[in-house]
Amino acid sequence: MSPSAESGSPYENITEMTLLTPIKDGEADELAQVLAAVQIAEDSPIKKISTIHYARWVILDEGARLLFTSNFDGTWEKYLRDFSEKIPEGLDAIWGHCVGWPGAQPFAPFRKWVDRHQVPANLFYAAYPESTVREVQRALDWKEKTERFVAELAKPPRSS
Amino acid sequence: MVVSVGRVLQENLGDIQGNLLHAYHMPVARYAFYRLEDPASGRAWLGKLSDRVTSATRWSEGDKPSSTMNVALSFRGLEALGLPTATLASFPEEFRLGMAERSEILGDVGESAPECWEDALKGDGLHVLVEIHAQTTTALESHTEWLESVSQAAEGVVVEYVQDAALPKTGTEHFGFVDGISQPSVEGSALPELPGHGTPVESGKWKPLRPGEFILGYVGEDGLASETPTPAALGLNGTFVVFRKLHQRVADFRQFLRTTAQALWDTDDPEKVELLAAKLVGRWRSGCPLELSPDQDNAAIANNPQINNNFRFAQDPDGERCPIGAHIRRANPRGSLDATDTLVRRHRILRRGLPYGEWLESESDDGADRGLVFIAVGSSISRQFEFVQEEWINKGDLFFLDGEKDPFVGANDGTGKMTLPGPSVPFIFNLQRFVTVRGGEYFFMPGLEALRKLAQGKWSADS
Ligand code: HEM
Repeated sequence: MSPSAESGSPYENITEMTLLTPIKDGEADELAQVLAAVQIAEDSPIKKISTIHYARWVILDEGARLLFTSNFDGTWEKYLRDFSEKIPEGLDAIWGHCVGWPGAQPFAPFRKWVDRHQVPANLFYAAYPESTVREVQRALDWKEKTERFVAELAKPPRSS
Repeated sequence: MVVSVGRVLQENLGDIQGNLLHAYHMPVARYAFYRLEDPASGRAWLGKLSDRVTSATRWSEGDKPSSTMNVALSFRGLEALGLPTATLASFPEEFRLGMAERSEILGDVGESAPECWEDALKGDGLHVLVEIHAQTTTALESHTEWLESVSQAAEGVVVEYVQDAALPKTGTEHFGFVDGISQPSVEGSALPELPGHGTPVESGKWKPLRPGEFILGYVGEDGLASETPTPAALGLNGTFVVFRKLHQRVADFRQFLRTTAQALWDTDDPEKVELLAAKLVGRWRSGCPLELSPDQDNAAIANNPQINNNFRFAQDPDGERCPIGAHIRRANPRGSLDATDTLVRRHRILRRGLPYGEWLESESDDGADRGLVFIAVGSSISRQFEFVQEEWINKGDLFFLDGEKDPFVGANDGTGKMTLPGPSVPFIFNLQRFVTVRGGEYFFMPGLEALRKLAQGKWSADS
C-alpha cells in the first residue's frame, strides 16, 4: 500500500483530508436526505470520533460527486481506523451511495478506496495547530470554571 | 452452521505455542537470540527445536513440566530463512520495520533511543528468539545445555545475545509491586473466567475477548477474522510477540517517592510514601486496587482473584480514588472512556514478562542492571502494543490530560506532570523517567505446524 495519500500536513498533530467521490446515478437526493438526517440527529455518529475539529459533506456538480473535507487530530491511518471500527454503519449509509464503495469494514479495502479518492491539499492552514479537540474542550471548561470562580470572589461577603 | 469460535480455539491449543493464552507461572527464564547465516542450516536447526516446542495444551494436575521452550522469529529472521518476497511483504508494516525503526512512535528517545541500546540488541542480528522458562535454575540449565549442543552442532547458527530473568526474592517487580494480576481473558482459552479481565458489559459483568485479538486466524472484537500473512497457513495459530528490555532506576524511584511525599503532604512517613506509590500505579504494592480501597492497603482484597480485578473506574470520573493518569488506568481504561471514545477492547495486550537482575538492597544505586523483560502478545503490534504505548502511556490527550505521560513507566524528561486529586496542590511536577529502554525487537511466534513447515522449507524461495 502506498503511503502517498497520507496527507501532507505541515503540522505535527493535526491532519487534513479531502475526498472527492462519484455518486451513483440517481442517488444524490437520497444521499442528501441521509446527510440532512445526520445533521439533526441527537446521537450523531460523528460525535463518536472525538478527534474531529470540523467536517463537511458537499454534494457537487448537480449530484454527480460528493466532497468530504475534515480536519482532525493524529495521523491519517489512525483516523481511518477509528472511522472503520467505530462508525462503519454511518459510513456505509453515506458512501454506500458512491461508486465502488467497498464498505467501511474490513479495513484494508476501505483504506485503499479512501487512498484512491483522496485529493491532496495545495495549502493547509490551522490557527492553533498544537491544540487537539480535547485540549480545546478542556480549556473551555477551565474558562467557564474560572469565570464562575471570579464571579464568586466578586460577590460582596455574605452577612451571617 | 454457526461454529462457536471459542470452541475452535480450544480444539487448536495443541497447535498454539505456550505462554501466550495462559501464563506458565514459572519463576526463571532465559531469552536466547540467534542469528542465522545460512537458510538451509537455519531451517534444519529450527526443525530440531520444533520437536521440543511447548504448546498451549493444558497440563493436568501434577504434570507441569520442569521447563518449557518456545520459538519466535523477527522479520530479519524470516528473511534469513529464505521466505519469498511476496510472503515477507504480507507481514504488517511495523513488524517488517522492526522495533528500532518505530522509536518515534514508542517514545524511545534520549537515553532510550536505539543508538543508545546495548550493542547486540540494536543490530540486525536478532533473528530467532528461543525462550526457556523453568521451575528451577537447575531445570533451566539442563534445558539450556540441550539447546546449546543442538545449536553448536548447526552450521551458521550464532548466539547473539542472552537475557536471563527471574522473579526477585520479594516476588514483585523491582519497584516493589506485585505484577501480572490483570490480563485479558480470552474466549475459548480454557481458563476460568475471573471478574475484571475481560471487557466491561452491562449489569456489572465482564465478557472475555474474542480470540482473534491474540491469535491469528480467529475472529476478533471487530467481528472479523484477524488479518494473517499469506499463505494463511503460515499465520494460523501464530501471533506477534514484543520483546523489550526495560531498565528500572530503582534508587531514583525510591528517592522520588520520599521527596514527592514531602512536597505533597509535608511528610515522608511510610504511610504517605505508600499512598503516593499506589497513586502512581493505581494499585498498592500488594496488588490491591485503589478503586476498591483508596485509603489503605487491604491484603484480603489483594489476594482474592475474584475481587482484585473487579472494578471499572466509571464511578470515579475525576480520579479521586485512582488518578486518571495512574499506570493501570492508562494501560487499560476499562469503562472510564465513555462509549464515544476509543474502543478499549481493541487495544488490550497479554503481558508475559519477567523481571531481571538482583533486588536492590542499598539506599543508593549500586550500578547494577535490573528491570523488566517486557513481553506483550497480540495479533496486531500496531493496534495493540504500539497504540497503548503511544496513545495511553506517553500521551494524555485521550484522557483530557494533555501533556501528561505515565508517571511510572512513561517517557518523562524531568519536566513531566501528573494530576493527582487529593493533596492541596493536586499536581506532581518535574517527573523524570524511571524506566529506560535497553533494546528490543518484534517477533512472530508461529503455530507449531507452521513452525515445522517453515523448518522444512515448505514456503522458502530457495528450496
Ligand atoms: C518496567 C516497566 C513496567 C513496570 C514495572 C510495570 C508494572 C506494572 C504493575 C505493577 C501493574 C499492576 C499489576 C497488574 O495489574 O498486573 C501493571 C499493569 C499493567 N501494565 Fe505495566 N509495567 C511496566 C511497563 C508497562 C508498559 C510499557 C506497558 C504497555 C505498553 C504496560 C502495560 C500494562 C498493562 C496493560 C497493565 C494491566 C492494566 C489492567 O488491566 O488493569 N506496562 N504494570
